[in-house]
Amino acid sequence: MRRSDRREFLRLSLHALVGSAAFGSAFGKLFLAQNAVASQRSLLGSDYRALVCIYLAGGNDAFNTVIPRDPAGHAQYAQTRSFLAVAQSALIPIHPLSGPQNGGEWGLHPELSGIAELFQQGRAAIIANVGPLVRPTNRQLYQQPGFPLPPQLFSHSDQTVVWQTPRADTSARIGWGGKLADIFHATNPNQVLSMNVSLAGENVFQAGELVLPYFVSPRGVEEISAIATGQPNCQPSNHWQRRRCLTFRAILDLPHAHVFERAYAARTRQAMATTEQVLAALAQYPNNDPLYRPFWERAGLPWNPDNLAELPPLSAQLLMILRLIRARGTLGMLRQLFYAELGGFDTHGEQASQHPPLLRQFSQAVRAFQEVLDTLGLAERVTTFTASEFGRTLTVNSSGTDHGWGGHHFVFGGSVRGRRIYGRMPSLAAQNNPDDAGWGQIIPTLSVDQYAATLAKWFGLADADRDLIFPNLVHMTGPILAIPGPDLGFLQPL
Amino acid sequence: MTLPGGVLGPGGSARGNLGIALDNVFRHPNVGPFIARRLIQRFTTSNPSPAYVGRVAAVFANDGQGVRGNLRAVVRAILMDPEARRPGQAPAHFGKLREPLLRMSQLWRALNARSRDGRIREGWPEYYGAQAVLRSPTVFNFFLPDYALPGEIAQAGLVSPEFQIATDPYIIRMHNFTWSRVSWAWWGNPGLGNWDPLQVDLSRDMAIAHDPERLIERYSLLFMARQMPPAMFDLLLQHLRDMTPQNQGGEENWRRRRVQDALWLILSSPQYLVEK
Repeated sequence: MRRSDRREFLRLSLHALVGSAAFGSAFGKLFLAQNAVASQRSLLGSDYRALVCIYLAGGNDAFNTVIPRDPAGHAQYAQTRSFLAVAQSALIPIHPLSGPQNGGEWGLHPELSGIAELFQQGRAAIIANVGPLVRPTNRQLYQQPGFPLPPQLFSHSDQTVVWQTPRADTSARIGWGGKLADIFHATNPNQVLSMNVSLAGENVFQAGELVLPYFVSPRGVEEISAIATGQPNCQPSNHWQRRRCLTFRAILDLPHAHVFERAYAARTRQAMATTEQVLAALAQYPNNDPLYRPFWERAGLPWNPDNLAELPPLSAQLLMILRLIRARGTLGMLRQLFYAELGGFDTHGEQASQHPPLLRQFSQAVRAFQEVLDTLGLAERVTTFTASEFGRTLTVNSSGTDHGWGGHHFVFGGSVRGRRIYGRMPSLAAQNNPDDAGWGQIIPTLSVDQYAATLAKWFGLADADRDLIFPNLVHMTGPILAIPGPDLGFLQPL
Repeated sequence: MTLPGGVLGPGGSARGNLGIALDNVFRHPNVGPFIARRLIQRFTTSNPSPAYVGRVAAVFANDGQGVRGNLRAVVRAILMDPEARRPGQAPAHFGKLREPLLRMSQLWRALNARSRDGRIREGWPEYYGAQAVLRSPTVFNFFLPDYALPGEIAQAGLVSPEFQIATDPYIIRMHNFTWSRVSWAWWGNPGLGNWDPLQVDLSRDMAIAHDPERLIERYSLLFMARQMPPAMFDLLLQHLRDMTPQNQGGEENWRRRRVQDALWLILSSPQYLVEK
């Protein structure tokens, strides 16, 4: 189908839906998609672009990730962070071309050598003190009764949802990546396979109102063994598998009175159809390509492509993302959103031993990922960013840190205006800290909406469609924020 | 609330104060409806009516003998509630998706599964179903009670907790789990060699495999509470009738394969997977 035909098809389908009373509850999503049809800009662009979300689950301790290096800054940090403080001499120095706004000298945690390299090469940027906000918030406003704040601050499950949704004042389980996909799905030649691919199971970020992510394991894709195929016509199974397959399909396709049965049948049909496509596409780009050696080498392992289980989990996820990106032509993908996850960041206890290996894994995996993207000439086409439900408290408990609010984040890729720290670093003072909401929870000076909208704009989201996804973005102005407005400037337009 | 204004007075031991604080939470009026909804979702339906939650919460508050928090009485109230017992009184969406571990245990129980030495070697069920006993990946368990699958379910304002882990790889792997158990891990299979997994016993049902109606009816009873729709019954019957001793490699293979196909086709169907 030509692009103009697809657009027409989408428009007609939508009108058909609007005309049907049964779909009355779907008006919200139709509005979004209709707008996409109306807005030619959203559907333009035949170049490949991908966003990769690396979710640091549990709440990364950003204040032990990017650390002050100048004597005064480090002294204050060391006093506040006490036994968790990293020695000044152990920090990896970084030398930003610009930022942060309030100056200082900065270093990265000693386990982040790969990230530091990328930063110095201009392939990484640090976005300082990002978190969910409904309105620009400072300490005085925070304490004002009735001031709009994100619901259930400091709670994992709620802030995971809030970080990933395009509006911080609800906990609807629809993510901004899902809403982007609702708009961009129609631009992909392949209308069966979702443009949102999760390597780490269900997540809010990728859930749209129309588009559900495709879930794939880092180990690859499996067929249904009893029928040895996913094809709707049950080819090319052998005789009895084919007979079994036909009965399986016939039972699946019976009318289902229960809404859950209909949903499960639809999920199964979708899984079968996409399995065949993805299996065929991945077969062209096997694991054992020496191109992927950096994942082993960066992790300090001998190259052993037949044993993916040896790879640290994040590396295995990013390796599969590379295989899928390489297969983009076969899969008919122009726009993709990937989701990978590294867990274990909820370091209430034993942080000194638990946090560094996680940072090491993160750094090694991302470094290898960027190395392969460079080799493939795709660095500018793929932008990777971190997310995490919250930063941690500045203050320490007996062996770790607790749930915070704002935190620093990383953006990686060839389109990043790198080697820069965007925004303002919060005070790390233990007492009388103007950025402290009360218990060492740092009030963000950039909102997740701004961070996400900057990524979405690079991805191709038209300014006219921005408010549909990020309704609170219009409020992100004024002097309280380190950078006002919808574009934080860390990405170069393609 | 046992504590005036919810505030614990000065003094007392740490252990004593902890007990008082827990009692204070336990007596909060929200606890009954909260735990009632969570338990109903685990036992009978993902979307109980407010009245159903209210009836169970009332039993949590008072089991009839003036005792608060009698879980035996609460579970009885959940299972014996009219909404759970009388389909006519339940909404059309009554029910829940079966979760992977319960699918596994139901298969093993219904087919008297055992290993030769009595040990259970099922070390990594999370590979198939994203679930393993006592190995929830987070403090929020395997799925969230308010997860709503995007699409028709979410649009109807319903929640579908178990769907959160029914993602593409696990939908397929659970079908493969069932197939590997019925086609391979069966009692007496010489192909197992020294390997000794939990083995389903197919012999009881092979004895009636010449009578496919009876076989399907038995499985409809064992697995679907006799709720198999007639159209599904007819498709299965035709499938099994098409299997003959001639095309299945002799009498014994024919009986076994009829049982295996019937089991897999039923246990992989949406009609079975949604427990109603």
